This record gives sequence, structure tokens and C-alpha cells, in this order.
Amino acid sequence: MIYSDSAMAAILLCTNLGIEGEYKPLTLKEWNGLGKTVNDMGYKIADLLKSEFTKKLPISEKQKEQIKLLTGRGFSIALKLQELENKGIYIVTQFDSDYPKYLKRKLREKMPPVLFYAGDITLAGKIGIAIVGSRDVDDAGMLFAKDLAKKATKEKLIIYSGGAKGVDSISEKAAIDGGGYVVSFIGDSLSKKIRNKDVIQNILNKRILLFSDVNPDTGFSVGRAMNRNKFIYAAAHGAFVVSSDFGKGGTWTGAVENINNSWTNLFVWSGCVKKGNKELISKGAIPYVISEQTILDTINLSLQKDIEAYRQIDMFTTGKDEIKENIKEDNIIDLYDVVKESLVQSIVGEMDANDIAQKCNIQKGQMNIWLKRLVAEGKIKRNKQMYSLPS
Amino acid sequence: MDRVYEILRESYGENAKFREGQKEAIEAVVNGKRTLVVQKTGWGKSLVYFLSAKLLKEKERDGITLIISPLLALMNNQIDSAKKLGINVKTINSDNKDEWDNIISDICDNNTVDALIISPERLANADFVKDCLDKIKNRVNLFVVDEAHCISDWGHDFRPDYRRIVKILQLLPGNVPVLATTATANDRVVNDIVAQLGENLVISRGELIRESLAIQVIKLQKKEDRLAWLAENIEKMPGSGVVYCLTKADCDLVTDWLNENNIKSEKYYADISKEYKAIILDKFQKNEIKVLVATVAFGMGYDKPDIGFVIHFQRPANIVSYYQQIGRAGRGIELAYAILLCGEEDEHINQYFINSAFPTEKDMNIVVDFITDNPGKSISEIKGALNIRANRVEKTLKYLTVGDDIYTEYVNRKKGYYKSAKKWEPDLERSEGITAIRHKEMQDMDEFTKQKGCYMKYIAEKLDDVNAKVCGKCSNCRGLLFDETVGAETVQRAQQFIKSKFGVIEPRKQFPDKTKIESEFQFKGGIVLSNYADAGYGMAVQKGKYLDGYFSDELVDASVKILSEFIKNNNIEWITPVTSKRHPQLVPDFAKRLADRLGIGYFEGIKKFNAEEQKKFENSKGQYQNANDSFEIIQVKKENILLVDDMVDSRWTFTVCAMKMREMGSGDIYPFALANTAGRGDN
Repeated sequence: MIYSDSAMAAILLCTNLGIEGEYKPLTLKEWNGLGKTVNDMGYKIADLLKSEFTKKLPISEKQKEQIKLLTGRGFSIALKLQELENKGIYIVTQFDSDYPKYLKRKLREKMPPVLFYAGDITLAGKIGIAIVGSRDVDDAGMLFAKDLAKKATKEKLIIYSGGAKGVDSISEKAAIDGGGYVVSFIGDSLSKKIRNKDVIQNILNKRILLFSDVNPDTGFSVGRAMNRNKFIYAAAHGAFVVSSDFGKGGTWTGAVENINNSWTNLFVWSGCVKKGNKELISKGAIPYVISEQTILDTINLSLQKDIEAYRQIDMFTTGKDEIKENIKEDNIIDLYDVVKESLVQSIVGEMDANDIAQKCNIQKGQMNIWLKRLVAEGKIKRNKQMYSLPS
Repeated sequence: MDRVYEILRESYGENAKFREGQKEAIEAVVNGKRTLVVQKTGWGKSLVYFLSAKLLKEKERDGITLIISPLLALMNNQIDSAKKLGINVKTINSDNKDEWDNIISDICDNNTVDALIISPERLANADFVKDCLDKIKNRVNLFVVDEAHCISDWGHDFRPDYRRIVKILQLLPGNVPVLATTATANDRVVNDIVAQLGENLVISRGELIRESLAIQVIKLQKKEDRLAWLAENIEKMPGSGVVYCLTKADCDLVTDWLNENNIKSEKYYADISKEYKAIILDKFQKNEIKVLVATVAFGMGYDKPDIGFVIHFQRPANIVSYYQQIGRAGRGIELAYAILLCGEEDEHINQYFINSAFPTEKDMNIVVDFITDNPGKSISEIKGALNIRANRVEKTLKYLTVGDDIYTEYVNRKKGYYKSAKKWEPDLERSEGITAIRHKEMQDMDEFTKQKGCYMKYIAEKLDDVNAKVCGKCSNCRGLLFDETVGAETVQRAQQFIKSKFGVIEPRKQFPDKTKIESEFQFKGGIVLSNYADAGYGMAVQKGKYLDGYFSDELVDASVKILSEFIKNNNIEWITPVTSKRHPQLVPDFAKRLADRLGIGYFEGIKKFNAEEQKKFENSKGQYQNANDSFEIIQVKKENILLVDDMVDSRWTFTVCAMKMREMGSGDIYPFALANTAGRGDN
């Protein structure tokens, strides 16, 4: 893996790799503040690697010293990254095109600048749902979690999860057993987790992608587990609460946080008698039971809302140079952006996917994908099999 | 940058000057640029990194320069030369463990160390990184990679440990200065290094021709001819020098031969103990021996200014190694000789090295599957579980580890292997690509030996030296330097000498599970006549076994010659053969003739009833098990017995038979084999 200068700056400044208590990495707030300062002055984050650069910044001497120490441990970082790569653990930063786009779009200043991962990173760009719930779920809850994960998997939806015992592991297993995929933001040590035979097997089979927002050697803590809830919600297109205590516990806290921040639509299993479930519904969560309706249709309602977030300018991208750099790093071209206006123009009256595909001379499968996106963006509308322009 | 002159003059006097390019390279490094220096040995690459280290230290008091260099000899050599510049350089290596703590404290607490040299093997060692490097890693402000051609896949010298360095270089943030140095890099290697270190690399590249060297190539097919040539010509060479061989066995042979001819010689290869190596090098340094007979294990960076000659007993694998090896001669003297002897076995041995450079795909698949299914197993557990030769398991593990396919980790104090989260796919394209290059390099070397034009010019051109020119010194420029023929009498003596060499069979003292074999059940030290497929008797054994189905009288004669004393000294009264299912008469027939000639009794005491061939089993556990299951003792004698077999490899057949015979009350067992097939061919 080769990291760009800005990615390297994020790794040096925001992780505790290779530090043994002498000094600390920047907090998320400090990092965002520094990024803003650097941008406002017309520089880029990568400039932080240049010697003497910090001298130019209007920040405290103490912080200058901290940045100097953090960026000065380059050899140490190289050793550490090499050790991690040896285990198949890599890093994706907010500056990389592989960074989970929904996290970036929805969390913005709350997004983790650096994520450690093991597994197929492209899974993180796929649409899916979160299934959350307490560790001590009852049998009915287990069954619901399992059925929901199976149903989602059949619809080719990813399961976003937290890798904990109980609901998390039940839904993860159901998805994998059903031939599906899982993205898991874990709350304990990533290094430890991948030593497990089944876990590594699932990673090698590209069934599961594990994320850790902290040093892979760091173990479980309540604070960390709470903090990661937001990643699970933000990554998902719809989150489903299986069972929640009221007023306490990770599920409750995470669900309420999601309601307050509107990261994604919250569905709560109404078959669960727990007080937490009822209270979440009264706070505006959507009651849910498994029915004939596809999950895709259920969550589709919420897709529109995300669009605003997609358009937000990502952080650290105000300077001219930075834009250039971003183009270089964002080497994935979304052809959709190139063709979408032509597609819209090609639709006359009511046409089905076949007609439009023929008219544009491309495969129907690809046309279906693009049409779906056009519908999601509200550029065209769909009525059964027929597409037309919005009136 | 005036300070750089100040330091130079403080150490080397008022008139000291830099060589062309030195000052520029130092400036680049100190200004944080990544720099590659390609200059011939003796140009003064170490001056560049030592002065850079010193200047950086003056700039940043807490900093330290970390130098990766592959050779210990080089380290001590260099540390002395650094002292002259007032630079405190330390080395941490496997030989000075007791000093590690002090050195680290000098670096971290006392801040008195300017540069630290470690070997690539150390850097690749996870334990070392944890125990040692972790403590100083935050201080490293210059990273120097010596012999940087090794970081290129296309470099002639594939070393797994350098792949780790490549990784570190790639992962090194742009704000860490890097200095890479090498004496040998053609355009392809330079381009590869640029790819690793980044486009902004500053390159310092000088001419490679060594003006003091006179090259001659002499074709002598037979080993005995080349031995004879050495005996007749070495005394005509100036000072002391090096004879390079491709294998350890040849080093042994040449050293003994030269000493027999009253030419003082010592051998140097990987297996020689550290202490003895130091003694040998010291003798060599002081010219107390005429010849150092060495494999490639001797070399890189070793600095002796008055080496008068480098002779190759066999053809090296490629031009770059050849250039490096001859480049050790004539550094501080006007004229030195580089004589390349080529013979019939060159191609075969070089092929063997090329083909065994990478673990096989099959071995890799087996190892990866095992580790994936059994995470956390130790190296000995893995060796025990797989039917693969132990040294091949080690090689495969190492290769897979540097490729990030597996890794080791201490869990509950046990060091175990785990499958990494990276999908396993054998990188055949890479290994096949490299193998193809090796073959091409071999062809170039072959072409070199057939040159009609200047030898040195050919080398310089192959190294993409833009200043390549005719040397005026080699045998193609100037006519023969040494006679190319040898005297018949010397050749005959050499032939006899090769045939008189035989090896010892040491008893096994442990079972595969490491429990002890009681000494009364072990066999006694025995004899093996030859190395399989080697010149001398090896070929005759091969022919006897696979072509004739009969071991010739020549082999009986040779065996009698080395055994008659042996059986007398050890009171051996009986001979018994190890029998085989596939060739039931071969060994018994030979043993019977041997017994007749030696005048001792013959009996058949061992029956083989399992048809599995021992050579199908690759590791100790399997070999022991199979041997143990295969042989039944039907008769023993209470006197001492010579146990005869054709080949010896793992020694488990001898071990098991001896044990079973001893249990039945036989006398002492002394093994004898015609050829040794064990672990041939590395350095």
C-alpha cells in the first residue's frame, strides 16, 4: 500500500501508532481545527510534513511541539504500518477514494480521519442496512435478527454491524451463511479478532470487512464502543433496532444519537416488548415487522434525504491545490455523472428499461443501475416498469 | 555548507578534498532529499552517509542515522573509519546482545551516538524490532540503505529480507530523508529504485571501470584441471587473494588441495563459526595466508586495499556478482588479477541455484492451507505436521512472511504463525519473471566468457556505464597473462586428491520429538565415500545405481582403500547390507564383494518389508516413522558390524537399523555409504 502525503499526515497526526505515552495524537476536534487553519491559509494538509512548516501556523507553541513530535516519527510509523500490512491490516484515510463514502457524507466533521481495516474495502461503498440490538437478546429477538439479515442478504444488501456478541454476531452469521456480506465496525482489538480461524476465513472469502477507528492493538472499552455506534448508523441506509433497553445501554444511546443527528432512518422492531423499543418509536423511529415488502422498498423512503449530505463539500478541500490533489487520489471516475443528462434527455414519454437501453446502445443491466440512480435522485420517475420525466 | 568542509579538514587535514559527487550527495541528503548514490567501491560512499549523519546530528540533537548494511565485516570496518571523522557509530547485531542495553541507553539517554548500523536480517526480525528498534525508532532522522541494488527485484541478488526494506521505504513518510547506496546498478535497477523511492530522487552516478584489474578467462572443463591450474599458478600472483567457489564442498576441496600443495589457504563460508571467521579475516588482512577460499558469503563491502587477485573456480551466476567479486581486488594497488576459470559443472550448479531460489507453489499452498486451518502453530509444530523437508518449510515460511501472506505473533508467550487478512495468491508472475531474468543473466555471463573484445568494457556496458572503454589490461587487450594449459602430472595428482576425499556420518542423537536416543543405541561415527553427483566417485555411484544396476569394482577398490584402516581401528568383524525392495541385489552384492576384499564376515541381518521409499518422506518425523516401520532385524552378531548402504541422506535408516540391532544385542554399528545425497548446493 502506498499512502499519499495527506493520508500520511492524517496517520501521523491522528493515530497513536508507535507512541508510548510520551505525547498524544490530536483529538478529532484538534485535527479538524488544524485542518481549517491550514486550509484558511491556503495550504494543504500534506504541507504539515514539510520541515519548518508548522512555524507558519497561528497555533500555540505547545501544539507546534506536539505536531513536530507526531510528524517526526516517520520511521516509527513506517515500521508500524509494515507490521500491520504483514497481518493484512491496512489504513484508509479521509483523503483516499476508498474511504467509506457514506461515513464521509453523513458524519462530516465527526468522521474518523483514519480507519484501520481488514478485508475487501470495496464492500464499504455498498448499500446496506444496520442491524443493532443488545448483547442479551431473547430467543424471539435472535430469530428476528436472523430473519432480517437473511432477507436483506437475499436483496443483496450489506449488513452493517458492530461485531459484538448477541444481535451483531447473529445477524453477521446469518448474512454470511446466506451468501451475503458484512461490514463490521468492531469495538475490540482488530489484531486479536483476525487471529480467529473463522474470522480470517470469512475475510479471505471476501465475506466480511472489519473496521477499527483506533489502533488495532487497542482492546474493548465502553467509550470506544459507544463512539463507534455512529459509524454503523452513518454507513447504513436504514438502521433496524432489534431490542433496546430504555435510557441506558449502547443500543439506546446509539439509536437516540442517530435520531438526533438524522444519519439514517431508524426502524424499530415492534414485535419486541422492551420499553426501549416503544420509547424509540415515540421519539420518531418507524415501527417495523418483517413483511412481504422488500427491505429495499422500506428503506428507499429514506434515500432522498441523504442526497443533500452527498453534496456537502468534504473537509479540507477549499484550497486550489487540494482540489488538484483530490482529483489525483479520487481516481475512480463515475461514468454516471458523465452520462446522466443524456440519459434523462433520451427518455420521451413513458419508456421501459429495454427501450432506453436500446436507444442509448448499452446493456440493459447497466441501464437498470443508472435508471435506479436517476430515480433515487428524483431526475426521473418510475411507475411499475415504465420510466418518465417528472411532470 | 561550509561546515562540511570543516569536518572533512578536521579529520583528513587542510588539503583534504571531496571526490567528485560526494559533497553534492551530502548536501542533498542533509536538505532532506531522497538520494541514490551509484559509485564503484572505494569511491567513498560511507563518507557520504557518515558526514550526513554528523551534520544532521548537529542540526537535530535527538536524531540518529539508521544504516542498513548486510555485512558484519563491513560494519566493524566502517565503524573504525567513522571514528576518524569524529563520528560515533554503533552496531547492534546478533553477536553483541550483551551490549544492546548499553548502546540503546547511549542512544536514548546519553545521546552520544550519531549513527547505528544494523543488518537487513535484524530489521526483518520482529523480536528485534520490538525489543530494540522500538526504543529508538522515533529518533531516526536519516535512513540509509547500503547495497541498495538488493531492494530491486531485478537486482542480481535476491534476498527476502530486502523485500521488507522495500516495504518500509514505501511506507516511509516523505519527510524522512533516505540515502540509498550501491556499487552496482544498471539502468533497470536504478529505475526500479526510483520507483520505490519516488520521482524526486537525486541520483549520483559515476564510472564503474576499475583500472587496476587485469582479467583473463580460462576454460578448463574438469575439476582436476582447474585444481592443477591453481596449484601451478597461484604462487605467480601478487600478494594474497581470493578464490571463489559456488559450493561449500568445493571450498573444502580447494582449500585442502592448496594446503596440500603448500599454498597457505583458509576457507570462508556461511557455516564457519563467527569466531573462526574473525580469525581467518584477521590472518587474511595481515597477509598471513595466500588464499582465502570463499563462497559468496564472503564479500560485500569488505575492504582490504591490497588484494592481489580474485580467481573464480567456477563461473558466477551473473555479471554483477562477478563485477562485485573481482572489484575486491586491486583497490589500493597498481595491478591485480581477475581470473575466471570455467568448467563443466558451472551451468548445472547455477541452474540449481536459480531453480531453488523460490519455494515451490506446491509447498506454499500446503503451508498456507495448514496455517489458515491451524492458526497459532509454532514453527516446530508446522515442521512436524507437514511432509516437507525442514529447510524447505523454513524457506517457505520466510518467503510467505515477507510477502505478507502469513505473520508471526506472540500469544500467551507462544510464537505462532497466523494467516494474514490478505488473500493468498502465489505471485507466480513475479517469481517466473525473476527466474527468466536470472537465465538471461546467465547467458550474459556465458557470452562474457566468449568475448573476443575487451572484457572490462563488456562488463561496464552491461552495467550501463556510459563511460565504458577499452581497459588495455585484460588478456583480450594485451595477450595471455597466464598459461592456459596444465601439466599432466599435476592433473593426475589432483585426480587422486579428489578421490581421496570422503565424508563422515555423524550419529543422530535425538528422535524427531527431541527426546534423546540413548548413546548405547546410537550408531558410531561412520564414513561416506563421496558426494552424490560430484566429480570423483559421485558419478560412478549414480551410474551404478540407475544405469548398470551394479556398483563397479572401482567403487569397491575405493571403499577398501578408506575402510581397511577403519575396520582395524574399530574391531569390525562383520558386514551387513541395508536391503531395498526396488534393487534387492544391488547393495548386498556390493557388500559381499567388499567383505571378501576386506577379509571379514558377511551376513544378511536386515529385512525390508515395507515398500515405501525413504526418499518420499521429507521431514524427520516421516522419515523416522517410515524407517521404523520398514525394517525388521532377522539376525545380529555380537561383534562390531559395518552397516552398508548406497546412499545416505537423513540418516534415519542407519539410526533405526542400528537401534534395533543394538536392542537385539549386536556389537557396535558403524555405517558406511557410497554417496551422500543430503543438502547439497547452498552457500
